[in-house]
Amino acid sequence: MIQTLCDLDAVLNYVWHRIEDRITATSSPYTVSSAQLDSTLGWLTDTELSTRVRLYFDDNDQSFFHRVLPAINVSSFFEVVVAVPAVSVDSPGHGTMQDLARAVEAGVRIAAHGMAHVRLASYLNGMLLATPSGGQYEAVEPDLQDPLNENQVLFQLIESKEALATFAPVEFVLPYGCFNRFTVGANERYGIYRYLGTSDFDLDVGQSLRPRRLVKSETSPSELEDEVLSRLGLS
Amino acid sequence: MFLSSQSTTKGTLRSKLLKHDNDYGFDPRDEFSNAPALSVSCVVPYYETGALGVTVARQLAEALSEYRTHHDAVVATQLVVVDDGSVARPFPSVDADFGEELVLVRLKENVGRSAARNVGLRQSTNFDVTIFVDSDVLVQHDQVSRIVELYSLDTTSSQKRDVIVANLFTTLRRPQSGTGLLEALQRAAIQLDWRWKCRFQPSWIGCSGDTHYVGIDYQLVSQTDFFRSWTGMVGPWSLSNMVLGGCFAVPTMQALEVGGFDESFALYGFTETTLVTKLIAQGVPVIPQSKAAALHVEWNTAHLSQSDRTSRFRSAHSQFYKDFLAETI
Repeated sequence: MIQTLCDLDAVLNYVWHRIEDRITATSSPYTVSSAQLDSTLGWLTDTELSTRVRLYFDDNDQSFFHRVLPAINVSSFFEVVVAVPAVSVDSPGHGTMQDLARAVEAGVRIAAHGMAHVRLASYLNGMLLATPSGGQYEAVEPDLQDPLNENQVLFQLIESKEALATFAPVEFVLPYGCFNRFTVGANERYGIYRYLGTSDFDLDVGQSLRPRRLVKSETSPSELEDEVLSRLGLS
Repeated sequence: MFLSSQSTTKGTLRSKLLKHDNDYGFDPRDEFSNAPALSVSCVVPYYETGALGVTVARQLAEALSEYRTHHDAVVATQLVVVDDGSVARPFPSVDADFGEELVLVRLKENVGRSAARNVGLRQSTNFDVTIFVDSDVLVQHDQVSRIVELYSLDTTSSQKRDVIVANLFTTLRRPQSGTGLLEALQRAAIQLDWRWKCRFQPSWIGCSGDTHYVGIDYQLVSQTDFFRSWTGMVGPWSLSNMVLGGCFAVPTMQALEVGGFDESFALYGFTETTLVTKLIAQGVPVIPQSKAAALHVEWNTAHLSQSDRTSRFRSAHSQFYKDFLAETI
């Protein structure tokens, strides 16, 4: 498996969110226990896949800085990335500027994840909607459910890059993995980010729409392994 | 000075451009009772345009003359023609038609329109307002007056406020004799400018993101209340794209302070847009001048072919949006 990935110059991107000591009934499905994270990272290390794996920790959750970063060897992975909604910085439960700076010193890369954590494209009854035209170039509330208009999408792309300029982000991780033609076209027009991180599994061979696989509380290493073997035609 | 709060904080040009509040506070169609008496320099970058360029300069000299007569106070004006290294059809030596106010600058080599405009801008240092007019754009006799009145704080004030004035054009695509040109100028109307009403054309595509705008109708002036409610992007355009190089005016001192035009935009496309963008980023509003329509004579010996313009436009489009706007100020 590792040899095939090397031959293809391919990388696997796995995404975590919050890491807690134990999962409870009230935990989000995206919250993963420390034990499960250890198990998955152990599998990656044992199979030597770690050198071809990029770890993402989305949403700038404090658990990354307090639990994960002290426990991992960043350089043993292809890359470790924290995706940061700009307004989350210094807010309760999230990483501070100091946390981010320390992570960068440890070799972690910072990706933008919007100003707020809002969808840049929306679905209705399973159909991807076009972005409403025009609108104001303005911030929106993090819990906004209405589709963002063109200028609101631009605002998320551009102003998050401004807010995180210290870290010169080259990647924008799409909140909820949502995008449409306008999202991609707007980023391309301004040349804002080299990569837009999505939320679907595939091999990352350098494409600008970067595939990323979400790891949930029920995701096991064997499931991830089967998926990779299948994609590589080795199963 | 009309400076919004965003002008004082550090950020990229694209952020400042898109955040800009362009509400300049009055209706530019109103009559102005007490327009300020400002010194005005008109700059014409000239390259191989021939007789048309001379006609353009003559029209401008008349418009400056009319502007002077409208003001009781003595106002200084000048007309600067920057011949950008013409070989086949250099701008003729100054004749009596232009009076003493014409300054003819001959550049030894062709340095491009941005650099030529910068020569004219520096030549205008002591003037309040600099109006740039391309050598294939004919202006109305009241064009200068109509531009300068928009530098008022409001319709009754003689106090000056710094603005960018975008003029609207009619484009002439057929050859015309000298007399025919002046008749066409009389028929020119702002309603014939694409910014007044247009359908986005395939040949206007600057990047892949533009494709989904093809076929959409826009009335950019009226739908943005004469640019007052412009925010972010409108379709594929930013506010600075609304100022076309054919005829526009800037406050001279501010234009010099931000460093004039970016001379790396030397060929076709966005040659005027860099200065305008830097001024907008400083909080200077853009006002469309909607009372006097200029005439852009597209059919002239110095004009590029459509295919040349398309390829150069796309290259400049990429340079402007991806590189220039990413600069931090």
